[in-house]
Amino acid sequence: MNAAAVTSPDVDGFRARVRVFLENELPADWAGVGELSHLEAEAFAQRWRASLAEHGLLATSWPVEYGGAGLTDAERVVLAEEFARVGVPTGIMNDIFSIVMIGNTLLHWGTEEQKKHFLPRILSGEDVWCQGYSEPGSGSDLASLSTRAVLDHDEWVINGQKIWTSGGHLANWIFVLVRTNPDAPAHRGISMLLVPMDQEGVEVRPIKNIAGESDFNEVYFTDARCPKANVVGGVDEGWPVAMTLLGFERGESAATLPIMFRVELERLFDLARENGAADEPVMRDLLADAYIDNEIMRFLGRDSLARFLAGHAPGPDAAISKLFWSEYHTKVTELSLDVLGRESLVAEGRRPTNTTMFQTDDMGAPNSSASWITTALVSRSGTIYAGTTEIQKSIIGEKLLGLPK
Amino acid sequence: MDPLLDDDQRSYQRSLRKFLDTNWTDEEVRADLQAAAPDRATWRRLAGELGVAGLNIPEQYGGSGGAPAEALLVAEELGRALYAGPYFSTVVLAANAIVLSGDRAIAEQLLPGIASGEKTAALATIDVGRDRHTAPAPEATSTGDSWVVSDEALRVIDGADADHLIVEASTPAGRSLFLLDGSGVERRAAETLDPTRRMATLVLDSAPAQLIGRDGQAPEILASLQPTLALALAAEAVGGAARAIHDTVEYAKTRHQFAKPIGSFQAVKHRCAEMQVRLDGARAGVRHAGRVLVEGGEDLALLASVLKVYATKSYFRTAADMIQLHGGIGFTWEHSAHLHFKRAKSLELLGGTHAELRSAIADVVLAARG
Repeated sequence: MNAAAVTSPDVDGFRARVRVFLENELPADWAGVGELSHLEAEAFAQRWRASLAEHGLLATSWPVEYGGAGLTDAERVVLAEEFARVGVPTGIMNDIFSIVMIGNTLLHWGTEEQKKHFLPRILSGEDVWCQGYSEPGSGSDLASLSTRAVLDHDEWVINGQKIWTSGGHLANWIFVLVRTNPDAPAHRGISMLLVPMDQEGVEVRPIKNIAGESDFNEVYFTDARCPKANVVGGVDEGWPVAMTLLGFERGESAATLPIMFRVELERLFDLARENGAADEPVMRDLLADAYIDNEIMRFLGRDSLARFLAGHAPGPDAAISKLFWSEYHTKVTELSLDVLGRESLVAEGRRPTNTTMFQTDDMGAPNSSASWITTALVSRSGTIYAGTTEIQKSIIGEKLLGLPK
Repeated sequence: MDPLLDDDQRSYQRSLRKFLDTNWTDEEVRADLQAAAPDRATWRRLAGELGVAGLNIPEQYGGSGGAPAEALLVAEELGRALYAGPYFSTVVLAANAIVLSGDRAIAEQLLPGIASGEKTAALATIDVGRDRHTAPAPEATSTGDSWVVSDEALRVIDGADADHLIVEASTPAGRSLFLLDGSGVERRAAETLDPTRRMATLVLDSAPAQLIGRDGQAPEILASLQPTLALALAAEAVGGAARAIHDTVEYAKTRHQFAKPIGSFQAVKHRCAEMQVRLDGARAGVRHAGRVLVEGGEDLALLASVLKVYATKSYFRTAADMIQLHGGIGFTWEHSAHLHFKRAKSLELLGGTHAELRSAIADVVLAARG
């Protein structure tokens, strides 16, 4: 891997401290979570999160007064980069929803009471969140959602169904977009509610995915309730609130995605060297092409990172990165099955540890057919979630190139 | 705004674009294609007023020296303007080869004229068949204190018009570079795939020549030149693709069918978005290379090959899409789409084909891990 993406006298000292932290906290022979068995990996994740919390490194972007690390943008990027480099996570899987999404959204839109109540409980692990956005009839067209909430004295009463709720089976809270004013135009009359899941009116049903795993769910609301005060950013004014959280963690992912994808490609090259595919002319050509696309992703990442660190608001360049990496990943994992050849007919060996919001298998993962098959299957979701390839292209066409709707 | 450029670079880029927008419009492109001799006046101004020729030439030889990132900006803007002048032949190939040879006498003799824009030069390298190392080369014979070169040199960019001709030829010590004195050379202009890139066949009949650098040094010089050459081609492709996208998007906004601008149709919009994604990837890469040229830290030859393949492929696909999205008009001689299409293909083939470069990339990235 090449030199660090971010260097400056300001962050070099911080980077050194992060490295010392990682050296102290990880075993000497550490090679990435992928080396661990599933049970070991689970235990590691819990221990690791506790250790991050203890050292104030869990919620890197939150201000110190709410228990966060209070890091600058550049420091957050450095931390994410150093963690990715050694193959350790910045939290458990649901922290994407708990810390990055709802935590940051509350910091931006929440009342003082909401911040004081929810943020410490996220850090302690008492509250674990998931996201209730998509519905069976509202995917890309989110504004058409139909889950509704009506006020009954001091409580909201919620009815409807959410789908693709990643990590919903692990969460005890869900932030939900609901229609609170059925008469208002599509983007108006939507509110964001904070709803406890351990109540009778909330039912979570797992959905089995293409890889045979159940990491996302359907969530049914039947007269489910939450306090009146659990609305974020005003009744009927949830649309801008919902959109806020889409830009979070942009800088970190611009730094870490190229590292993850490079580690994965190196592992594929290892496989090709071991089984002789690296000597076949056609395979060499395809592998060289994968390297080229992987490099381009690194350059796009540096470009996004430069924009992020220069303080530019998230723009359509995020659509370009998303489109590029998700398409790249379907291509390179398809290639991995060809590199495996007939071996990819049977899934053997260690599987990836999680397939939710999952991009590559963990650093240190073995070149097992089970790892590559699962990764190849799950990569198919990358061009669908968080805005399909088609939606990204429309965003680029309209927002970046100014083409008419 | 391009966050990967600094303020001075942005300002230089603006000056270049303004100059070319004014002085190298599509009309000038077409006039130059049809002219018997290529335009020199614009080239002299580009070199004199904007310093485009001297960015990699050391100050002692009349250049400004040591500005490789800015040189990439020049290539990009020239690509954007479909510029046909002698930048590639004279600066990217000939001047850089002379600098890399370390031959002070030749440098003193040729580089000041090149840096000022008064003189142009062409470099004829062996580029016959699939393997340049085993392809036949013109023969150079020693005549005591000088040399004569015979045989043909093919596909020499700007070879019909250049003031100075440099040829690669075989000697008993290996391949070497020679400066011809102009006699014993018949120059035959060739019809090219890309009309914005003039080429010629040089027929050499005991043409008197002066050795550049050491006898047998050509492979070393040309290997060192390769990354610079590949990056210049990649940068040119980035500029060309940016222009092709700009023109296509403008057309898609104004051309109406079924009572709507065609750019509102998803099939058209998405094709435009794909063009932009490819461009952004290639441009981010070329910007990155500009920094690596100054700061080091990466395998430059590998990086240059990667960018050459990606950027030129990106431009070619975009030019092909440009024709498609313009419909019938895009298929006509009057429209510029075919100029981009042909130029893009020539950029793919110059400086190593995709198959050759991908094979070279595989050699490096699939080599056993040390």
